[in-house]
Amino acid sequence: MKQRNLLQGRAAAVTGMVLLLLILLVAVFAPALAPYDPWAMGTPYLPPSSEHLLGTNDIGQDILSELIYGTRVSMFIGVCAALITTIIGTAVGVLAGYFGGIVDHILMAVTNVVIVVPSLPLTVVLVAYLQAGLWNIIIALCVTAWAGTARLIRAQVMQLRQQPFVQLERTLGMGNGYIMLVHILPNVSGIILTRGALSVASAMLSEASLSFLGLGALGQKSWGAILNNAFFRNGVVNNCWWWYYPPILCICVCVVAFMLIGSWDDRRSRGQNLLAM
Amino acid sequence: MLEIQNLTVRFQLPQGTITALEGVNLTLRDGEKLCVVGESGSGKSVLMLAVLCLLPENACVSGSILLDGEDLLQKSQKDLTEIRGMKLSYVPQGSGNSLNPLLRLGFQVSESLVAHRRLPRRGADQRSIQLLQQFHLGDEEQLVRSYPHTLSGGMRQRALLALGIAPEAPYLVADEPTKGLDSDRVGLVVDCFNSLEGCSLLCVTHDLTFAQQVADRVAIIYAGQMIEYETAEQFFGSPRHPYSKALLDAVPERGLNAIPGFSPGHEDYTDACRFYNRCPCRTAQCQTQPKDRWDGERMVKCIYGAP
Amino acid sequence: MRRSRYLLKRSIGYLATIFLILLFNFVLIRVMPGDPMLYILGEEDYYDFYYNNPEYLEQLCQEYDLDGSILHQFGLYWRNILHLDFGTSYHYGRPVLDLILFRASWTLRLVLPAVLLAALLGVLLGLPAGWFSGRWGERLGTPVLTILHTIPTYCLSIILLSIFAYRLGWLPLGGMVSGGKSGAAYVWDMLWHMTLPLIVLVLYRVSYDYLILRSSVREIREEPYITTAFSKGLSQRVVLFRHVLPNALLPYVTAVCLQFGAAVAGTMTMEVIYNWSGMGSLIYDAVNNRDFPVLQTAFLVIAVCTILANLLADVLYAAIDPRLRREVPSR
Repeated sequence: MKQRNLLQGRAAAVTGMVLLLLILLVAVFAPALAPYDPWAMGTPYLPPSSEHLLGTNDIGQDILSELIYGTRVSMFIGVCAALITTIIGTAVGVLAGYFGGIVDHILMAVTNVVIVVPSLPLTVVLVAYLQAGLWNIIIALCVTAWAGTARLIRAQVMQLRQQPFVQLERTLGMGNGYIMLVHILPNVSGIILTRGALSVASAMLSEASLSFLGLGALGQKSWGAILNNAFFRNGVVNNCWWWYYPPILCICVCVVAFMLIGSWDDRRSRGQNLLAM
Repeated sequence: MLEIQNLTVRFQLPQGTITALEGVNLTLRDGEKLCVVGESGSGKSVLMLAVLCLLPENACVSGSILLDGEDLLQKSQKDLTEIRGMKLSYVPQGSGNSLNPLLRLGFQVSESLVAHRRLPRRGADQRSIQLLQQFHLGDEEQLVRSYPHTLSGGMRQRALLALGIAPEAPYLVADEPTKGLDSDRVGLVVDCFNSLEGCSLLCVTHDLTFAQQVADRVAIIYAGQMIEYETAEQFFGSPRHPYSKALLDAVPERGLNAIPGFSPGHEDYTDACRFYNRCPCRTAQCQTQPKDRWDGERMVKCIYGAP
Repeated sequence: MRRSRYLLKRSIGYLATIFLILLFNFVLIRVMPGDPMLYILGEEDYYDFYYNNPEYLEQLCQEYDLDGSILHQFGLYWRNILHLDFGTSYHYGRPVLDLILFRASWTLRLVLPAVLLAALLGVLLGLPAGWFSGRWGERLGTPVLTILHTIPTYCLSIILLSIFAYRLGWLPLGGMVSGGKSGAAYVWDMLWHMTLPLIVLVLYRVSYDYLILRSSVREIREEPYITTAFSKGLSQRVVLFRHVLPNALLPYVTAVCLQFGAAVAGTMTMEVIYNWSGMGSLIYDAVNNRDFPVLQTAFLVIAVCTILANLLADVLYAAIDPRLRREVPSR
């Protein structure tokens, strides 16, 4: 069938993975790739040249090097936060969906509360209290983010629970833990992965927002922090486009990459439904 | 007269092309009632939608569907709008969402009249009450003001019948009109169809008892192919295709002898006769597909069907 | 009555949420290291009193009964909340709630038109895109809008600001209204200042609205009742506006209401960039000044706004969807 649009299907997912791989490589090999020490100062406000490919900022730091090191910080926070989010979300979703009843009621009540709370303001409040360390930010990002995943997984698990093979295992007297790990989890792995990819994207976005507001991890040069510098230290006023466009581009490319991976689901298409009538 | 000539419907799916209907030839004479019988998945619903030109966009339709000599497949959307609900009416399948959940039943039943005959919306309810009364839904005055979700499955099915016969179109296409109805209610449908004066009926069903009560002619569809086309008398007396025989033997009155095996999936189509694996009288010859053997008005797609 | 039971159930959930947030606020300032007064007063005021007026600090300490039992403190906390007393910001010299509500009105001036405009545009673009899904317009529009949605508002803000305000000079650099204007001139001036932030917000929201409406129209297009509608010989226009749109609007209205809360939160970064003195800038300043009472109350107000938007969504849903109405409506 014809591709519905450019952002769906296998090709899109593969594109996303390739982008992600590149970003990961940059993060891992940052010291080897960066032409300068991102903290070293030099001539300020240099426009891009062969020496400084993306110019320098107001205190003469090389922006390309800042970006390359920034990849590390942004990716680290994004991936860690997404990992924690996904683990909590999966655990809550599987437990609620599998056991049902009172467990489900309690877990979903909590989830529904968390889902309503506006996440960015809460994160801001938490960071303001916790002091802006790397791990504090990761924790603050996770507090609300797991709820969406939990809901999705619960719905899927509730369906799975009705499946004959799960019923069979139960009558055979298999332990609940065993059934959940061996039969339920592998069947929701698709959702876990796509949701995980989207969680990375949203965590990175939130982190960038925080850093942009000056609430990022102290002393860490993430992309949001570079943008914060560019805006609040007169990069925009002085028309230093090389200072603020690159971090914007990095953030967007990264989010798009994760979104492409997350969008990969082979949905049943028209016609097939019709034949099933 | 409705003539379906060499109709083939294919669906383009990501996994490849699926053939839902293959080379179907049918004729529905004026005033005649034709029942198309087949298992679910055999392509009978696709046939109905093809006649209405309402297949989804990824369907490739070839052949022709002549309604009073004019090919529906060549018509513009505008012309089709004129034909549907005037000349050609449809009784949708009752299972699932065949009624809009946000509109009152009364308006939906007579909507075609509002569209084509300029019936005022107020009058629609009156007409709907009359139509619904035919099917003994009970408390019709209340019912026309209620929303589809308040109806039970059987009620919904009967409301859809009322919706289909509302325009009093000369051609009526019905998709499983008796699904989920108990035998008393099926009787209502039979009465209704038999009392339609001068209306040609094309009705898909898997209820052979119902077909026997209504049909003048019967067409059997198996795995996307029409395998037998007979007068009802002939068919219920002496069916010719092994599948038809098996179908009739599977009717409760004849002892519920289920046909062993399953009909082939769309991916399992081979060069052999599609019934090959389940056929009690298969021979080596059946490894190649039999031709449609026409014998005047009758047809059978089987080597045993030779006159 | 199904509907009222449904709404009641939802309301209880929301009240529980507000209760939990208040509880969270109460606990937070007491588990943080250091003197809880620091968090009750905010850093600036706390140190001001600490050095210049320790007696008053002591007195305030007594007032909150910080040495007393936690239960008594909890009681006092609730009494204050029920009196809508969220403390005073000495930095701004006025009660915290007053300040926040005033700032919130400025944020609403931005968010409300943006959300409504985006919702309207979302329908205008999403309906044809969902219906004619697969045609070139949709195949071009969807990726463009999806990518637009991935650009964070502050990035888009900076880009537009640098182009239209700094380089071209067509629009103001920031602020809300120039001084010394009144009447129509005042409104025009405000609109002029609003243009850029509004465009950013609308662009960001519209892509989301578009995607939602498009996908629900696409799903509804497959519904059997659409086939039924066509089989009656209705024209495409009638089917689209009588059968498709109302059904598509059902989840859409909910989604639009729900994003209202997110939109209030989402303007935070943007207000800072455009120097718009709304809630966002207030929170930003509060964080930088360690003005904890303002921060906490602002968070509470945003949460309440979000919850009200959720409630509105539920009410609207119950009003539109007959499945939640009484069995047989009376005329």
